[in-house]
Parts: sequence; C-alpha cells; structure tokens
Amino acid sequence: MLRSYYFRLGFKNLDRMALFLLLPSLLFLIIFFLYPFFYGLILSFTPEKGKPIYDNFYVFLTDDWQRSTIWKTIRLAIPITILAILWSVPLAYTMRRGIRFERVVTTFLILPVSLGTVLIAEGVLGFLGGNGWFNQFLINIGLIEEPLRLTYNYIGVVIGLFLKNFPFCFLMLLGYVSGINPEIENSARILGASPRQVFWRVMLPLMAPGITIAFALVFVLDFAVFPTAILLGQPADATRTIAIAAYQMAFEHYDMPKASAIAMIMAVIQIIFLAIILAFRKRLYRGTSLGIAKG
Amino acid sequence: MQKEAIGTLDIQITKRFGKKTVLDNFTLTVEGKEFVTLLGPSGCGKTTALNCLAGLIDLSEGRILADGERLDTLPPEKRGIGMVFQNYALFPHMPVLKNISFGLEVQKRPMDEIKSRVEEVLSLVRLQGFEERFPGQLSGGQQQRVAIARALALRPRLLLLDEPLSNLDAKLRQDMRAELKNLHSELGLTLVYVTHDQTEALSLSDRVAVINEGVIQQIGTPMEIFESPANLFVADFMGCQNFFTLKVKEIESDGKIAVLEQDGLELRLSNIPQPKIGDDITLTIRPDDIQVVDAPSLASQAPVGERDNTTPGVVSVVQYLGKENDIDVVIQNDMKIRVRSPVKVERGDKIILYFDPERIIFIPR
Repeated sequence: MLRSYYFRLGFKNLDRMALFLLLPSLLFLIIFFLYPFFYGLILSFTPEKGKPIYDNFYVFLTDDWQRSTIWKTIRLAIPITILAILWSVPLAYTMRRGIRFERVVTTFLILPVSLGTVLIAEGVLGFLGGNGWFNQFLINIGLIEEPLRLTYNYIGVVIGLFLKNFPFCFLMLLGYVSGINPEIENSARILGASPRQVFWRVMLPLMAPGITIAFALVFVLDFAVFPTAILLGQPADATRTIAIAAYQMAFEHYDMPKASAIAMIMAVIQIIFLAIILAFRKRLYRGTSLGIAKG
Repeated sequence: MQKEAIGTLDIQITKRFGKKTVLDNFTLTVEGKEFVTLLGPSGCGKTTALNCLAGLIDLSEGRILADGERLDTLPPEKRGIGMVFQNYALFPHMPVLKNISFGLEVQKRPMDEIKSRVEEVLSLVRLQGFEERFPGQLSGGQQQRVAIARALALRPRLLLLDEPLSNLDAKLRQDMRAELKNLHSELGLTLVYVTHDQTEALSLSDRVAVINEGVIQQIGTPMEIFESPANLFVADFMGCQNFFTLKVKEIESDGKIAVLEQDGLELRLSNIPQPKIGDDITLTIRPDDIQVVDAPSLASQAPVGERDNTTPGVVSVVQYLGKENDIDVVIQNDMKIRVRSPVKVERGDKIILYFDPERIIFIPR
C-alpha cells in the first residue's frame, strides 16, 4: 500500500516527503541548538549597565587568571589527543584484518566509553592514587619510598581523559582502516615493498584522512573536559579548564552574560582548531574521493 | 632483486582453511614463456592458487619451485612476481606515474633506470600523457592498463592475472584480450591467468587447467579441453549443454561401430572406445553441432526420417539471437535438447534433428 502510494506521489513529491520527515530533527536542532546558541550569543553581548558592548569578553581576556584557562585547556587537549592517535593508529593497523578474540578486545575497549567519566575517575583514583595499588606495589618492591603523585594534578587528568577518549578514537580508526581494500596492500607487497614500506608509503597516506577526522573529533571532546578535570585534577589551579571557568561564572557567580561570553570564546577556539585541522587534511590528500575501496 | 626469466615453475599445493580443503594436491608445471590459464567456477580455488603463488597466503602442504628453487618460503616482496588484481588495486593516492614507479622506488633503483622503465611500460600500454592523472580520473580500461604497466615495470619473471577483464564491458574486454595476447608474445612473458570465462581461457592460453572444488579436472591445450573434455564437469563448463546416457545395444561386425539406444533415441557411433553390449555410455554434443534437417520452414527435400542419428522433436522455446536461434526441442521421453541453428522455427513446430557423429563427444567415466 505504502509503496504504491509513493509511486503515485512520484519523485518530486518524494522529496517533499523527505523534507516532511526531516522536520522533527530540524525542530530539535532549532530548539536545542540554534536557539540556545543565539540566545547565548546575544547574552554574551549584553554587558552590565554603562559598559561597552564587548565588556564580557574584555573582562575575561584581560584577567590573567581567567585567560590562563585557555592555555590550561589546550595544554590538556592537544597532548591527550596526540597520545590517543599515536596509540590508536598502530593498534588499529595491526587489527585491520581481524585478530583472535577480537570481540573480547573490542568489548573491553568500548567499556570505558559506556561506563562514564565518574566511574573511570574512581578507577583511576583507586589504582593510581596515593594509596592505590600501583603505588603500593612500587613501594613494596622497594622501587620508590614515597608514593608517586599521579592523581589530583595534570597527570591525573591526562590519564583519565585518555582512558575515556582513546577507545572512541581507536574504534573510529579501526573502522576506517578495515575499509581500505586489502588488495591495495597486497599489490604493494608484490611490487616489492616490505611491511614497513607498505605502512609508510601506502597505508598511512590512505589512513591520513581518517586520522585527521579522528584527531578533530577527539580534540573537541578533550577540549570540553569538565568532570575529569574536577575529579582527577586540581580544579582550582593547574587543571582549571575553560569549561570550569564558564561553570563557575554561571553557577557560582550567577553571571550568565559573562558565562556566555566564555562559552563563545571556547567555541571560537574549537572552530579555529577544527579549521586548521581540516585545512591540513585538504592539503594532505587528494585521493579519498577518488575511491578508496574499489580501484 | 631482478631475477632471470623462469624456466619451469613446479607447483604442488594443498591448502586448507580450517577443515575445508580449498586446493587438494593442486599440481601444475608451467614452462617458461607459457600462458597458462586456471579456469573454473567461482569458489573453485583458482584465486587461492594464484594467491599462494604470489605469497599472499601460505600453503598448508606442498611446494612451489622456480627452476628447482623454493619460492613458497619467500615473502611476496622477494619473489620477483608481478600481479594484476581484479579490481586493479591501484594506489588511489598516487598519480599514474607514481603508481608505476612505486615498485622500482621501493627497491631503490637508480633514478634514470626508473625513468626509462616507466616510459617504456607507459608506451607499451599506450598511456603516455596520463602520468599525472589519479586512478579515480581514469576509465576502467585505463586503470587496467596502469595495473598491467605497474606489474610489468619490474620485469617480473612470472606475471599473475586474477580475472583482470571481468570488470570491463564486453567490447573493451575483447580489445584487452587481444592486447594481453600481444603483450605475452611480444615480451615473452610467463603468465598464469585466472578466469571463469571459457572464451578468455580458450582464446588466450597455451594451456588451460580446469578446476572444480580445488581439484584439477583436466590440463590441456584449449583444443584438447574443448574437443575432448575429460569428464562431465569439464564438458559442462566448456559449453556442452546436451548430455545423454545411452546403452550399447549392438556392435557391428567390424567391432568399431556401436549402436546405442535409450528411450527411442538411437545413435550409430564409431568413436566409442571398446564398447561392450549393455554398457552405459555418457555422451554430449554442443547445441551448434546439432542440425535441424527438417522443419516446416524448410522446403521439403528427400525424406530424411530414416537417416541414421536423427530424431524427431517438438520445438518448445525459441530464443532469437540475431544470426541464430537457441531452440529448445523436446524429443522422445520428454528429453530436452538445446540446439543452436539458423533455421527458422516456431514454438510447436515438429522438426527433425541430426546429430553429427563426428561431433558427438564421448565422456570417459
């Protein structure tokens, strides 16, 4: 019935049908994304009485303590993203044709994503904390006398955030690598390339577009770090990220316009980074659209 | 790493995936400069055999010897073999030039050698002027030629081709077939070619190995394979569509001519080796070797009804093919015969078929 109905509608009307079906998601987008965004944008340009229109931004950017959150966030996000990529690429590459117990391995890797930040933070505290297993083990075998400080500081956040976002990065790259036609790799081998040459000259360039996209997405995730920075870091000092600054402005000082300004600054920085990464991707590679799987 | 052209290639492979035996004691000897085709339906193991030769998969048992030296223990990059894949497997991120020079570059050949080799193979496949194009900007036929050029640039001592023409349209396929044959004789290449297309196998090869379910059914020249298939499978695969099993009823006094009969179909044949009365004999004949000797559209000639090796039948299906028709004829006992003939017939016509005894193929058990 439905089929014949579609047929009678013809193609033009099918488009109209598709638009109609898109409506709910469009509505969702408008209500939950566009509206808050523009509301926040207007709010951020609503200064206190008698101040210039850009005052909310000006206050944040001229206050050294506040401005330092930008650097503190970047200092976390970039190394963690690079670490996740460096770890994922070789792992995804070796697993590209499947391995034994692959399901078990992937399940373990997906687990941190599904557990949520708080559980991961608790795990890290229990394992790497001052009285954690790791430190006790090192002390017991006599390697160290004082426990290593691995939590409630910069390192703690790096570890926690890495654990949370690495699986996402890895799974994305695994999907990308396994999609590359294995015959391409085989033909490189037969042409005399060693496994090392195959990786550097053929597979890595073919993976590059996927790597840059994974980099961009993981960077955005890392840049918005909030709970991990509080639970595993020093939210009052070394790991006071820009998201914490925005939160404090909104819910401790109840200054929504200034909090919105911080959120806008955060968005602009992310967009700048994404633009750089995507520009790099464009320069890097011309082949993707030319059919990566089928020659 | 360049090696001498191969004199003889001795192949003996058994390959199992888990419990499934994909190649069962696959034994083949390829002489230097020979064009050998592995022919079989999909899943018969022919591509597995090729991948074993290339070193992409390991043998379960057996060995591959090139002029007496073990080849199967070397990794693919050390075998000096070229391969052309079904999907060409060009490097999508490199222009044609880099695709072709890739093998020479990873082997760190001198620049001037790389340059002259690339030019040489580019002109060989007539792709000059395409150096800077990317694979995605080429047509299927051009990609195919790049793949061949890329393999030839290394002057491989053995070239493997895995269904290289199956992604091309019919006309291009015919042209590429001629080009391949020309390249083979011009360059004196040793070639192992995999296909499921009997026309390709017959037209290109010096020898054909017909494979089914991992076992070689027959090895021979295209003519041997076509004219005297070793068994039912080969005959079927080589386009013999009509199969009969008849009983030997009589043997004439000279001991050569046997009369076979089943359900009213009677044939007098002289090419049955050592017939014995009562034997079941399996025979086959190609559709175009059966003649329509009487049909309503033919001007009635001398009565043919009593001629040897004829049978009456009724036309059930006619497929018009242009020059000829594919005609399905029902003869005695509801047996269906496929005939290819230029004679015009229609469904329901009563016709008489003649089986040329010279063209009837005896299938050994």
